[in-house]
Amino acid sequence: MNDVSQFEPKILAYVCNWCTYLGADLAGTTRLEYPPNIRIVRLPCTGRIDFNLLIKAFEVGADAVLVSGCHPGDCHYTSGNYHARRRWILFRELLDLLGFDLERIHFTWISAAEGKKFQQVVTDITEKTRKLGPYTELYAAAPVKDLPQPQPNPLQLQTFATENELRAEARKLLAEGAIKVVIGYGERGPVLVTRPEDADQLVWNNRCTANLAMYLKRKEVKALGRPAIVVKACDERSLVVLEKESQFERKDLHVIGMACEGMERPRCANCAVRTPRFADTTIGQFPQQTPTPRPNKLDALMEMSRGERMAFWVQEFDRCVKCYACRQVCSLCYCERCIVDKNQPISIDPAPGTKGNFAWHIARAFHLAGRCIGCGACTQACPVGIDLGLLNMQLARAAKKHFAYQAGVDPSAELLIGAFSQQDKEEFIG
Amino acid sequence: MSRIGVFTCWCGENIARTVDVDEVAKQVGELPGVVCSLNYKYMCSDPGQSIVREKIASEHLDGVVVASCSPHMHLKTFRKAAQTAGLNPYLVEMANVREQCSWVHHDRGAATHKAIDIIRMSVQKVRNDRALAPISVPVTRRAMVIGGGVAGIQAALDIADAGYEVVMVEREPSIGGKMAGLSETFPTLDCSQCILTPRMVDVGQHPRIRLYSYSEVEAVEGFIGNFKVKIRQKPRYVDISKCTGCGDCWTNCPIKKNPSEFDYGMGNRTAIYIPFPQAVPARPVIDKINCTRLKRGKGCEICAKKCKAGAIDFNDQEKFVEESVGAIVVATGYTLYSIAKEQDKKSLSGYGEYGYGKYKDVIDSLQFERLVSASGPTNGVLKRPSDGAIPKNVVFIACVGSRDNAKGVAYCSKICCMYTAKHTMLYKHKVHDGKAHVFYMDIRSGGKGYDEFVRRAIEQDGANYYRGRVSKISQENGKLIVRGADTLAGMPITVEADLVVLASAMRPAPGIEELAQKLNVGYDEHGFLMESHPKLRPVETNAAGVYIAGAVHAPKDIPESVAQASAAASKVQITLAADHLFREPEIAGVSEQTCAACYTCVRACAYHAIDRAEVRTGRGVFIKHTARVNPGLCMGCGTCVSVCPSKSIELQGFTEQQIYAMVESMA
Amino acid sequence: MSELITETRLRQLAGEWLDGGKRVVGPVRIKDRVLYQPLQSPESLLIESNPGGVRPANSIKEFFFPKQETLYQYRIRGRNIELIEPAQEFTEQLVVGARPCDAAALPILDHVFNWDFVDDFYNRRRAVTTIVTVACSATDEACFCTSVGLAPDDTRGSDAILLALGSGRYEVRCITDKGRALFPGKTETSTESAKAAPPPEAKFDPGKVRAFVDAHFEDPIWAEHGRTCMACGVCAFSCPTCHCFDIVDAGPTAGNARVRTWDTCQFPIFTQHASGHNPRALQPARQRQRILHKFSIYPEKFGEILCTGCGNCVRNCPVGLGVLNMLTEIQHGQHL
Repeated sequence: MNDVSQFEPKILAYVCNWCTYLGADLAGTTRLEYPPNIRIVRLPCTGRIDFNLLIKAFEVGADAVLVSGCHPGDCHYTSGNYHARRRWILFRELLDLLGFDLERIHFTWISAAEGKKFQQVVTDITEKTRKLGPYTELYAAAPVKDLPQPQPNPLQLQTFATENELRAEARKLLAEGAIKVVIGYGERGPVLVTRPEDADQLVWNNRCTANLAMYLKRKEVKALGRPAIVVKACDERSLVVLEKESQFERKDLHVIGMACEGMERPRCANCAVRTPRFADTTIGQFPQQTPTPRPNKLDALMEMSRGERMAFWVQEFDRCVKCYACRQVCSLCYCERCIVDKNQPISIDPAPGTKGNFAWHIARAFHLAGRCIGCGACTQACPVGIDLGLLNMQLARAAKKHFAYQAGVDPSAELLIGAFSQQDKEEFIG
Repeated sequence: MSRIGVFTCWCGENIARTVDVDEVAKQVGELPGVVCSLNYKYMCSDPGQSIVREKIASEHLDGVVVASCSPHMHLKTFRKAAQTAGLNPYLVEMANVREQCSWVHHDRGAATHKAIDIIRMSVQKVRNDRALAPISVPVTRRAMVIGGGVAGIQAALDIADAGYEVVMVEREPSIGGKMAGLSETFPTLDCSQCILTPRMVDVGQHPRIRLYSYSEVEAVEGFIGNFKVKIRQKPRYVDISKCTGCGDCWTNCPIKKNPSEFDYGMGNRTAIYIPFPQAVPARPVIDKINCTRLKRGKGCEICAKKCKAGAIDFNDQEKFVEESVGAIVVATGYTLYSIAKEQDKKSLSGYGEYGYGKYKDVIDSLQFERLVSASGPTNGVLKRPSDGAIPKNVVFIACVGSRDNAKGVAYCSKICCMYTAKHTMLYKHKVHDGKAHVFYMDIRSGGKGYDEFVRRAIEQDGANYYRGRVSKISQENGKLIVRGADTLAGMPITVEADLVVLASAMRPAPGIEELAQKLNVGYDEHGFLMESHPKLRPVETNAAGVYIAGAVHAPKDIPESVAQASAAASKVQITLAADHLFREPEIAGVSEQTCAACYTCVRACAYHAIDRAEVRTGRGVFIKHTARVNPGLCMGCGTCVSVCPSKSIELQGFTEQQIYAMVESMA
Repeated sequence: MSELITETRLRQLAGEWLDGGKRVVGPVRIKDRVLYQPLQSPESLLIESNPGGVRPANSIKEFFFPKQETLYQYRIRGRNIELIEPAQEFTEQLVVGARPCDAAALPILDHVFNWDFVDDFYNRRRAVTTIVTVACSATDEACFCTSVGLAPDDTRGSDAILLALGSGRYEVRCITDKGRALFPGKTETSTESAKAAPPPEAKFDPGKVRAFVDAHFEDPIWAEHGRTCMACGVCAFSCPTCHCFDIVDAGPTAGNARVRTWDTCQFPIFTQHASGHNPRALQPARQRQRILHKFSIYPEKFGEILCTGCGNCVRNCPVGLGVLNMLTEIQHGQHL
């Protein structure tokens, strides 16, 4: 601190009380010296470490962050570190996409008996960070390359042949009386049809892109009574996840599955399953097909350098106005009180500045890790054209790569977050 | 919170030597919310605590930060002090400026600056603390002792004699542990079995001790005062309620040549066997791998035919039993380091140069004990394994595996110097014209009467001690050639031995890591279980309600194991002293209004402490689903908090508000 | 006689402002849409060609009333709190390419920002900004400026207006002194005169709407047409006249600042009380509020409709709502 010219890194550590904190104490009792740059936040378990704490550490100016806890199998609370490890595996992938410097984020297992290791780790990290220098690239703007844009594909409005069948089904269900509302597509947008005579408000054409499962969380819809919902095979995956997360009981929802050959969207070219699999009523039939390759924005982004990636996202998020359309239209964002609206404490800056926007989009994406089914509603809804789907896609890829997991496909598969495996990989953990 | 008192300790010189405590007190006094900031030489002392109490009253403090040692050291001390002054104890935090600051840095400026930062975080934490009241839970006033060696036996008898029921779980067919196989014990040369077996019988006959022999702990659930332990009873194939222990079965068993586990392979046993005559319970067990009937499914059955009590049951199966206890003592003992080349851990390698496993007459210390034991396979006559001859020259090698960073374990096994001296004496008492040669590095004989004992071995019983290591043992003309060094004489030395005894390292018994994980007890890289504090809490672990005694903790001899066992028993009695115990209230709770009932927390909780519940009006009208924490089960890890997307679940003592305030104070 | 300016000259003008350290805002192409953004270079300015639609998807209000604004900062020393004025900048701004429905919103907003509290931040920005509007050469079904008393060539709120003559040439009509100060030396005299797009047909009568909403606080229409709203802020945030804001405490990571951010009555927690009670608990009530505020309450207070008919809400709404359908339903439905 006396030599002004030498950069003294600021290092924040989140450690568990039973292993690493005691290991640090042991380093103290055995008088093992290490550099004084580190500040330790004691938590009961690595399981308690929320991903946002890492972002917050950088927000307060840390040049490096250390997260450390008990070795796998030795967690004082049995499995907290396993849960943490699974989240870290996914979170790193998201941070990588956003252009965060992963060399500044360290994960280790240090037990209560490893005072020496604690000394070693802290010394190594301090020296390494000193060489890396202050973290000035955090949220740094820079000229940015454009990503390859898909060809716009404005189609003529084309009504599908099964539209009348859909209307007839809706009319019948409403007339029978057990179903009180049909959530479907209308001329201008989604409609909630409550009377049989209004069934003709329902349309089925190539503009029916919305994922109507977003209406299942709405109190206004729940108040109407037992619903029927029109879904495409892609939207149906939302229903699989929602049911697994206890958001509705299958018997309380009537699913009208519409087989579909594609909507007015580039992503439809990549569709494999075109007929819903779990509907109560399935209208139409299209066999599965093999997806066609198309220019992948995510690959292009990952080919950029880390600094370029961060500059890309700085530019994207600069336009965000925190309208929360991405959250509202997402069928899986169903929390009544979203974390960004919680103000005791304000963990995510609500203002639409750089820090607040990064923190929000990281939270939104990560809360969907292992859950997002890729309907693209978020990207479509964004009024300023932020490529939100890329964040979700990166996490979906991570889920597949590390856990062979795809959301919404297999109703019997265990949900990804809230579970763990002793085999979850940890090459990045020291 | 707006009236915080910060008390910075000098800890004598421990903190003040490196951290400028006056500067700290001054700067910290400027922090928002701090109304009182002072420093004192010894905060934990009586006058120190008085200062805290006095300031709480005079300054109307609503929060206290003590900047001194680790919270693991004195948090309870200061919480109690605050409580006596009328301040809720959960409004007290500690800033660790000793173990994590003054003891690990030398630059005064940097250490002072860091200390101030640490205190700043603690001030933020305590400002967001809430007054909490301990949670009362019922206690099952019974204990479990895992391991029936001398430590387990002592602990069980102490607890049972104090009036509590004890469940003892022992892996082997009989209790007694390693001590039952020893011949004589140092420093008194008492007959080991003579002093142990009466206590074994006490355990077997005690009205309050329930013994599960030939059983293992399968699973442990619950927490202090409320453990549920699932015990797996391995099949004996003998119904011990019918068996009288008459011995007709094992005396007539035709399969006689199985190496005896109790004799460490120095003798044989039958397929149906009792490990040793004084076994408790004195009931046999059938070795299903070598028994003809069990191997083939039919044939033999001589034991069944001979058994007048009809106690043989070839259809026996493993059984599971559940026992509820309030406290557990782990006393699972040790095993010897395996000297043969193959090891169970990659970090260890054998001492192939000693020829263990290659030469029959190179044995380890426990095997030697069986050869000299009066009830051993040779009835106390020291016959060497290869040809039964009486050895005239016996070499004892100390520190095999111990104190060896490269091949073995780094620690000293503590008892080998003493038992090696004992071995030389036992040898000389049996073979008067025999010569004992000991290759040693140091003599460690620090106990009561210990050094005198070793001197007796050398001066009275004529043991030859050479300070040096053995480089190699080879065989020529039926003799074992032991090549070593005598560093005090300054020359190499070769002994032609008839028998070599290796004092190999003590390690925790196999399976300790799995057991520790079931109990959530920490262990070091060798498997020894971790005590809560090496000086002040040597028999407790960081799993509340689980205590340790004996060699499972660290290498130790019988007097120490017994002492530690009684210490553990006394801790158990504290736990079981009343029908209720108070749990720390730093647990999780759900804000039901905002909970989205996704139940991720329910799935993530390792203790199944969170339930799916409903919110209803006073009249029973359903409002919504919610998650709800069971305050009796939550252990306060906070995993639920990080998986909750809406942060509707909070962990007292580590709330979001607190953690974020702490981190933001570092801006 | 009229004044003409070419696109090239217009870009030069923008370039001069940029070089002079001033800010220039105009429609810019961002991927598949057009947004008003501060220009990085004069080349990125999109004037007439609008592949993304008839007008940008956002409004120019953010250059007077930013999406986030530090009101003040504070520092705590001991038991003293020190307030620090934020280093605000009120750089001169030039808006080029605003639409009449954007410019007309500013005089409407002037009322509320100079009412019971005079908003210095807003006023200072108004004072240093010159707005050059481009008259609309096309309208679409979402446009309804004529229903609220405006037109594709309305000059309200503009300092100057450009009307397209084709081939990258515009007739310049200066309205205010600020506008007049911009163009000397940049224009040519001409006899040509431009016309804006034909005004869209009026779709509703605001007077009738007001009468309806004042008398039908409880009406099924609010639910029937407001139920599908997903409670996001897209309509309000892209609206030229919506101006509700929240004030939040940005903690130490933002330098201990108190920040004003945009807010909207469509958010569920907009009217949430600390007790947990919410008088507008469901979306139909919030949709009603929107119409009420814009077509009844604001006119009552300030004599102006809080809407310029730009249609952003309709175009941007993820579920195809926006205010127009409600208004046309009131006009043509069985309600009057």
